Amino acid sequence: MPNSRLFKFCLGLIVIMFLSRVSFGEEARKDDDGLSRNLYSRLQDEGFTGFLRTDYFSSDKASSEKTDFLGLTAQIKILPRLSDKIDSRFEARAYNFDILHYNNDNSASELLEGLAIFRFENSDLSVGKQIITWGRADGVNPTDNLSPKNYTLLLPEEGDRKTGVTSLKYDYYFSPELTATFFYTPFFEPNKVPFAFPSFIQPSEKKPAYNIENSEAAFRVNKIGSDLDWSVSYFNGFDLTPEVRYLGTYGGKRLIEISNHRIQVFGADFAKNYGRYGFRGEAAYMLTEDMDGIYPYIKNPNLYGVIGGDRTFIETLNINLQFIGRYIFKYSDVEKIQNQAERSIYIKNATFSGELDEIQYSMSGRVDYKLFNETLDIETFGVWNFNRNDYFIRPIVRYAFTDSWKGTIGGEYYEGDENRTFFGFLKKNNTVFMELKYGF
Amino acid sequence: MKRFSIAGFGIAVVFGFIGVSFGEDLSPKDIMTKNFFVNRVKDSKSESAMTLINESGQKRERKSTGVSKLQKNGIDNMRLIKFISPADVKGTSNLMIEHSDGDDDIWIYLPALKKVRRLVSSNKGDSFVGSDFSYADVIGYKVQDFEHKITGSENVDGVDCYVIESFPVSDKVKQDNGLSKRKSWIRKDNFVIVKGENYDLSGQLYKVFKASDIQLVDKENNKWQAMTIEMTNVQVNHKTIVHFSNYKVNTGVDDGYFSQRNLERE
Repeated sequence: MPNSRLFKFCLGLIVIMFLSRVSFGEEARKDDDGLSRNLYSRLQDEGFTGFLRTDYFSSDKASSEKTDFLGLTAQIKILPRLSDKIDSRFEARAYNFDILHYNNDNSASELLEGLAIFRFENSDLSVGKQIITWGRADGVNPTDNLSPKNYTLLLPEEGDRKTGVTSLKYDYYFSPELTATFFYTPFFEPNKVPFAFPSFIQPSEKKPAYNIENSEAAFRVNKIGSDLDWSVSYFNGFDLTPEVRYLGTYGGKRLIEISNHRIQVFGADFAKNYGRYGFRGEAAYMLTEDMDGIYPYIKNPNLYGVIGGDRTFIETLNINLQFIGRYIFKYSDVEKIQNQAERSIYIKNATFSGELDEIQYSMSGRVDYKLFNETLDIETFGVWNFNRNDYFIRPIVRYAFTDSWKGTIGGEYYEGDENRTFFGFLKKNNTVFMELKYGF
Repeated sequence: MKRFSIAGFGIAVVFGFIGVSFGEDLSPKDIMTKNFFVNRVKDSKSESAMTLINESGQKRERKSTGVSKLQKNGIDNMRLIKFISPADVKGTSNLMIEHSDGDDDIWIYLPALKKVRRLVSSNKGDSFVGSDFSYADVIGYKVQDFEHKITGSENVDGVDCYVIESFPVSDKVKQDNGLSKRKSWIRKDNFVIVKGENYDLSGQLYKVFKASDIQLVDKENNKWQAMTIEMTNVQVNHKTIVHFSNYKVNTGVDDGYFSQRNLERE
């Protein structure tokens, strides 16, 4: 179905649900004889929830020059229990991020999750499109390589970015604390990233086809309890973040290819409390297709780690600080590439892939202050890269007018050298955003 | 039988039962111990509606289901609370495993992030999901963490009560719970707390607790549960009322229920 038609269909469905709730309200839901009441309450019994949101962003997140986007998003989630042994979960989103200039290109509908979960005595088998999150660090997760993120989405919450990957996940529970997970998919989906190229560059995308050769598999052992949570994991699949390869020139244009390469990731994480401090760590050793560091369009093997902790002060002020480090094996400096056209492309690629420097040090911080019994939530998240002094800061204020109506206001500010730093590269995405959200 | 005896002995050792006499001359510690155990059923299942009321009377409501089970030591509980409304908290779950000999384990599952996070359990004074109850109020105060003193007897809603003041035994307990003193009105007939006052670190009255609709939920083991509890933060005039419904005990909940598997099950 074309995006705009599907968007209208989904939006219409959600508006009907919304109106049925408003029209028949609390009083009607006490009766048991009205069709609308039955429809709504039956849906609620199946775990139905939904949101209608309108958002304003002063800039998009695709590094374009466009400004001022007023969007409308409808999202529904339902958790039908198919039998005693089979659960299911469906979540879909329809949105238009520029309703003032409505067209096919700025509408989208997507199934975020759609899966069946088969429950066995000591194991679960989840089949379908599913969001899987690995890693215990806050916001920066080197071991989280399964489900893609849409970094161009014009919605304010971090949790909105992930979409499911069509896959099979098998969890075996050795005990209430110890779980082994096996993951498999032949349907790789990459992250959507804010690449923007000038008109003299002609990009082409090469996404791995859906087939057995392009299968991805992962394994994880996860333990909670006994004062320490930890996991070890292994992933063999594609890097979610695409990379850019220079192909040459044609018709006065530089041709580039955007593709995702195979990686293997050995990961581990932990969470442990010491007194009033909570400590978390996560590390990943990544093997790539370029183990000798020869090709500038493929990541080198690297070691990527995060360690930090949080503490809550005066009941609701939480401060979380993390130190982030990455070491690139077989490092080679892309600045030394002779061909000027190639060099400029590979500098951008290395900037985006975090390979400009052999050793990188960064720090992330989150300050979250909840007030008035969590009615008002003031949060700031930021990352600062020490090597090149670029940073990103994201203040956000959320206010719950009622249980159903919530308002959000915030911004994203990127600073750094536009040509040689990651956050400088994203400067065009500096934005102020606002959201009004109705949950039902 | 053997397991029961060992558990009973454990309780006695932990709470210093041995050597105390029962009856009229109960010590304040005995009373608080009896209060500690009066609602500790083997296991329970319930639904709850939590209403948060601010100074201007505006209400917010959160509905949840809760399952608890007493651990083999007969002292510590395991609890799994799942929120079912409103929409933005639906699917959020809390798993709490108490450890009387150390820090508790507390995890929260955030469905929007599909992530389980271990919480710092020593921050027991922190608000439980934005309510006026703290995690310590939900989990329960450990008897041995406080020194108790009987200050008198009072009649509350027609029932005779012990009035007991409890002081943290250490600065750590004080800081962890965010309290300098608790005052409890404990019914003499069944040892259920019907009223309480919590004082902040500066000694000012902070929160007032009330319990009502107290029901005998397990006749065989003489276990009681208040079906309505209320906590008011008198410093900001904000109140939380929790009504329990469909409260069932001894249903045979399996230990495996209190697992990451169920924590993540939306």
